[in-house]
Amino acid sequence: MSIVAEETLNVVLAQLLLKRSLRALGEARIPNIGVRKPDVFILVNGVKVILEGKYKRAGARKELEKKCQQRIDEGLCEICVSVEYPFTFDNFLSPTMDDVENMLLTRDMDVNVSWLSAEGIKGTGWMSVGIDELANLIRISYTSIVGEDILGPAVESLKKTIEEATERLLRISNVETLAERVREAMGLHSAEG
Amino acid sequence: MRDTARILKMAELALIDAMVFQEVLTASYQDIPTLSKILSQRSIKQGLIDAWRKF
Repeated sequence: MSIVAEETLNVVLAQLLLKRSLRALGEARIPNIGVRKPDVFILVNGVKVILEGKYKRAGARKELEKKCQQRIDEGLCEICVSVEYPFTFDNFLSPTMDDVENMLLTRDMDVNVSWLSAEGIKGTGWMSVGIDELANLIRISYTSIVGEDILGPAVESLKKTIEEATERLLRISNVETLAERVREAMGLHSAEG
Repeated sequence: MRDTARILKMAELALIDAMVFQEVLTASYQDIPTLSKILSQRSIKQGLIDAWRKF
């Protein structure tokens, strides 16, 4: 286990992204996204971006990808960045916050950006980037998500699903009884007079 | 039959509305399961009933 905790790396990473004009907050509880605590939370013109970071080790990528998918599925963010730190602080006798910052500034990180699209969750695939490239990647992902019409296809899909469900319900033998019970449950008798 | 279809569609929309409401609540209340958690259960219907009893 490294002397520098992943939480420390995440907080310093958030500070470095903040210096690159991204409104980032590390290891923070964000009131409107509930009690789940993202490693780094970034707000880019109203689009929520979560960054999840882990040291490189067997299975870390799978864990990060799963976590990112959950974050998007749960509606906590529109873009989620998995970051794998491919370095350790084993050679440091007593690392400081400066050492952590220097490491993040000089070494590349392995990242995978996932975002919500009309076709589901898309990903860039894993790539090795420096801190400046990571900041740019987050901005580029933001551009792709705001340029995509998510609502239109979602409305069409919802409409199609409702039509299909109605057709299937109309085929059941006691549909009139069902409709009557629904009508009562929804208070439609009194509403329609 | 048209009236029946209309009532069924209204009920379906009310259910969808309740599911959206549940998903929004999950952000603030940890004991309410997310829709993806319910979808992974054996009985989706029972999962929704159990979650909505908590409201």
